[in-house]
Formats: sequence, structure tokens, C-alpha cells
Amino acid sequence: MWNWFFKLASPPHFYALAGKLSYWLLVPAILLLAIGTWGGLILAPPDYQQGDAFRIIYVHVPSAYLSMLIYVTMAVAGAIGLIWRIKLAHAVAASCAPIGASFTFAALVTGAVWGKPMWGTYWEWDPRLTAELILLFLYFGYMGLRGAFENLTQADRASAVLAIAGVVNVPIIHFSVIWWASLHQGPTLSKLEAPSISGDMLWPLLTMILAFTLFFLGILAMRVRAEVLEREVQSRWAQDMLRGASPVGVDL
Amino acid sequence: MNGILAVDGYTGYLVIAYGVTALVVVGNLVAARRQFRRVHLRLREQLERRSGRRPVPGSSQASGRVGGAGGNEATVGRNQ
Repeated sequence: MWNWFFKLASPPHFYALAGKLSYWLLVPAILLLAIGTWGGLILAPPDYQQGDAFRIIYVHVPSAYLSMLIYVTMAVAGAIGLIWRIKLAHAVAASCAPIGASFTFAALVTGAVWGKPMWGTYWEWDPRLTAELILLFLYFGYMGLRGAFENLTQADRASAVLAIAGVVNVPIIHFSVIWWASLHQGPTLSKLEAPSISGDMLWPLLTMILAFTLFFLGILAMRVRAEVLEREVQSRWAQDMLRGASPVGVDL
Repeated sequence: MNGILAVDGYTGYLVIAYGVTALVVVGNLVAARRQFRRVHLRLREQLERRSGRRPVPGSSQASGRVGGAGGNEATVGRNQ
């Protein structure tokens, strides 16, 4: 187990593995995205209260879930990098930020677009919405902080501390609808023993969540490869690889 | 037929929501590919400049280098 972990943390091994993984994650992700979109837009019946507007759930919920998952991944990777000084962990954390920021943006926009016909407003300073907006600012802050340092080691450490400190916002986002009176609807999926959604509507949602997760992992693998290459440019394996006749593009 | 073809006045909202998500998905894919290509190319060029060797075939410096083998950074430039 530890051997496998240490082997995985080795940059050349990870670089090679990530090249293959990005392909094997992105292809099923795109297929599942197509199936989930078809299921959500065409096959799922309209909601008895919200009509067809509820179909925004198939892009809003996976985006919001991913925004939190990516932040937790970034914070855990940052902590691993800080504690065990594993460079690869910092590369993972740095690669998470732009992906996480983009999906947080998608969650906010799709939420606003869903809010207008249902609540009568695009935005309300509701605990869930506000906490999600803070998450977007945390991603921006993380990227800005990284960019402010010339020294990579300092950038890694400072941004890891910010990521770890900011992770407290994730349970606030998740539980805000339970802790405070909120305009946002309560949990639907986390009550797995009795989900508040019909099976006809549920399967496309689960498909989309799986597709988004695979997509994130595939994109992360691509981004970490570039990050690893940049950090390892002084090492023999990276120089050999750069000098070789390997194609410039990613394995896609 | 239920679904997108019979949306009850919410077409605009659905188009915006799915459109923005599609942009984010495609944007992530394109950005990740570009980042890898850019880093790969830049590092190759740096390596060539540092080593002063003949450029790696396929790199942007392959046709722009004026210095030959055994040159150093001061002698290596681009024809611009």
C-alpha cells in the first residue's frame, strides 16, 4: 500500500500515468454527459410545481457539488504537501484552482438562472448563495496568492495555508440550508434512504454527477501533467522527455 | 413528447443554464490542452537555449535559431 502510494507520488510515474488516465476518464465522462443531458432534458418528466425549469438541476447540482469537491481536494492536497512535503501534492492543489473556480461560477450562474423563475429574483443574500460566492472568492484568492510569489515553494506553502483555512466554508455551504432559514431548497440527494426526487428524475442527475466527477479528474490529470513538467524541468527524466520526439500534445 | 421540446416558457433559462455549463466544460478542456502545449513548448525551447544544441525537431526554434551546435545563450537568437 505504502509502496504504491510512494510510487504514485513519484513525478515521472505520475506523469506517465496521468497521460493515460486523462484519456480513460474524459471519454466516459463525455459519453455520460451526453446520456445525462438526454435523460434530463428529454426523458425526465416535468416537475409538478416547477414545470420544465427544474431541468436546470441537471447542470446546477453537479456544478455545485464539483465546486465543493474540488475545493476539498485542493485543501487535502495542500495539507499533504505541507505535512509530507510532497511536491506532487502541491502540483495537484495548484491545478485544482482554475477548474474549481470555473465550476463555482457555473453553479452560481445556473443557480441565478433557476432562481429568477422560481423565486422571482436572480440573486438573494441567502446563506447558501452567499457561502457559494465566498467559495468563488476563495478560489480567486488562492490563484492570486500563488501568482503573487516569485518563489514556487513560498507560493505552494502560502496557498496551501489559505486552502486549508478556507475549507471551513465547504460544510457551511452544505449545511447552510439546515442551519439557517434559507430561500434555497433543502437537501435532496443526501437523504439517500428516502431521496425527495422521483427515480425518473434521479437517474439522469446521478449520471451527470458521475460525468462531472470523471470530467474533473480527467482535466485535473491533464493540468497536473503540465504542472509537474514545469516543476521537474531540472530533473533528468523531464529533460529526456522534452528532448525526445514525443508529441507535444496531450494524450487525447 | 415531454422534455425540452415542450418547455413551458422556460426555454431561455434552460438555454442560458446549459449554455454556460457547456462553455465551462469545453473551456476547461481547451484550457487544459493549451496549458500543456504551451508549457511543453516553452520548456523545450528553454532547454535548447540552455544546452545550446541543435533544436529539437518540431519546436518553434527549429527554423529560427542562428547559433549552431556548441553555441551558448548569447549566440542563440531568433530571426525576427
